[in-house]
Amino acid sequence: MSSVLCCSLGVLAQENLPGDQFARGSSYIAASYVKYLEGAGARVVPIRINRTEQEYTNIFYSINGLLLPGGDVDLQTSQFSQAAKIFYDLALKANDAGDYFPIWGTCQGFQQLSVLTAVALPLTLTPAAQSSRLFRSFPKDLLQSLAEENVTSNFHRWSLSMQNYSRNAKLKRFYKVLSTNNDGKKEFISTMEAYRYPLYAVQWHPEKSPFEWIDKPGMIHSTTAVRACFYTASFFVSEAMKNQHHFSSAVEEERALIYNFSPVYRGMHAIFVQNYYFD
Amino acid sequence: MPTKLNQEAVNDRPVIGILAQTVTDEVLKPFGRTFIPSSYVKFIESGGSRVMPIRLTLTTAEYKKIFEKINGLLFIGGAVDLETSDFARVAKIFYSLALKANDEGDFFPIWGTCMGMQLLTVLVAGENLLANTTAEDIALPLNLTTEAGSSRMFEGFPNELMRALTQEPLTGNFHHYGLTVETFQENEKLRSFFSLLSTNVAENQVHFVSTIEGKRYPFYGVQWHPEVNRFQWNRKLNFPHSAHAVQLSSLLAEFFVNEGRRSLHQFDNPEEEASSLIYNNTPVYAGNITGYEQLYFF
Repeated sequence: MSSVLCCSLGVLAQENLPGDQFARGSSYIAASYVKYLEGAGARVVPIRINRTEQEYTNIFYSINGLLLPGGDVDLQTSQFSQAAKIFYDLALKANDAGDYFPIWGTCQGFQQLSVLTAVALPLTLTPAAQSSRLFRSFPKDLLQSLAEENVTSNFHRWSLSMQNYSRNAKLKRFYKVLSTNNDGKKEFISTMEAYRYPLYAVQWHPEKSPFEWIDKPGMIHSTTAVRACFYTASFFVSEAMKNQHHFSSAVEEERALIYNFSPVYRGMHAIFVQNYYFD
Repeated sequence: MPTKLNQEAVNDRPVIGILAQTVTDEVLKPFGRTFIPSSYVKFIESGGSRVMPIRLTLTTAEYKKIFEKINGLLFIGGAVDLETSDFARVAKIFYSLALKANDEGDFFPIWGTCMGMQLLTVLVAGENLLANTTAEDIALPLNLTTEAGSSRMFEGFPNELMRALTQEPLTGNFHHYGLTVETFQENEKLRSFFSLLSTNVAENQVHFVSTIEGKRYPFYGVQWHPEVNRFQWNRKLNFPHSAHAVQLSSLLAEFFVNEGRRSLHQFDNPEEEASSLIYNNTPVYAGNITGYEQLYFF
């Protein structure tokens, strides 16, 4: 008797970076995000940009959750952002109607732009963290390590500061801040979860610790960092297991999975060791 | 000395080798002579390591050089002769190097899955002592021994998971042969080399060894397949996919990679390392013709 097959999680591709000498087609997904989810026992459905709203809606009702990777595209005009918005709206609507659909955002774009140097930091957990859905699922010793060791990789040029968050009534009502960090000048939000929706966002990169190997500051590969990667992914997968969506046939599902693709090796000096490219 | 899971990491950039396996499935022969299922690669990568595939066609001198650069070795499953096959021959070269290295304080771990575990027992005992212990396409809990509680492999595992391990079918078995508990206990070489951590009962009611770890060497073996819990999805086969099954697979991958962190071996330079990694290879989608999702062929 096979056990319940878990989830198919969508990962949204984004426009190829200009100057990417390995680029093929029009869009890419860094393999580390795929491995991040597979490492927690899910399968991955790559979602291309340049598709119609109808196609995205069909995909939405076939997958059990969505991961929005970090990136370097325009957060208002890019195809990535437009597709993300379609899924975001579908997710809000679905959740409101009792159809549980989680979204995980790594390094999501918000309002404030600030320049940060690449650095590995511990997390400053807020009092709300312990009772949050995300961190409740973590082993206690790991939570302690997260607060003490430099285990989170930060590579962002923008972030949401606590100041701006607190000044925005909508944001304050919608998201619960679970951890903050300080870049030396400003306190910014590093982890948050929505109060009433299964939406989760991390400013740091859990997927880089086991799966990206460029040798530069900010990259952290300690045991604690690797464990944190698994537990964040595992939590997201557990959220997706509450969703009942499925593909209309086994053949359709097989065709949609990322196993049909092979990533391109970009060398050990690349920020992304492997990328999947899509036309 | 028991390994601590959260000890100070010595080598945060480990590279673990995986020996390629001879292709025996007729359907796969057109693709290549040897292969590595991607599930093993993903298993190691998910623990925080990179992977170097090791072909079966190199010279002993080349294997010795490779040994000095990698931080651990995985013997995967398969269906070849445990004494006369190329796989066994190359495995023996690495095993001998590993024994000597560990004896000299140069820490080097080995993990054997399924036939890989069987191979370890043949290497230690010096002979093939396997018997028919069919457990084909069946997920089982583990019958943990008293030694499991003080083992290195399961150290730090959450109590809830250890309980689940004995009650829920978290381990996928796909073998016809195995080492019986009786044979293990009667063989002086095996019982003095390995601690017996778990046993199971085969379809023919024979008790077989399912999990072992070296008493004084960092060598580990499982008759079952921890990598399928997260990385193989064929609906026709009994791959455990529950949350506990996923966690078990992940913790064991992390455990073995953490053992690899204790090895100080490294490549001569970053370029040599980069060109040795499995990123240079492209797996083939095989979900429509086998029970695997993707395979690397060599």
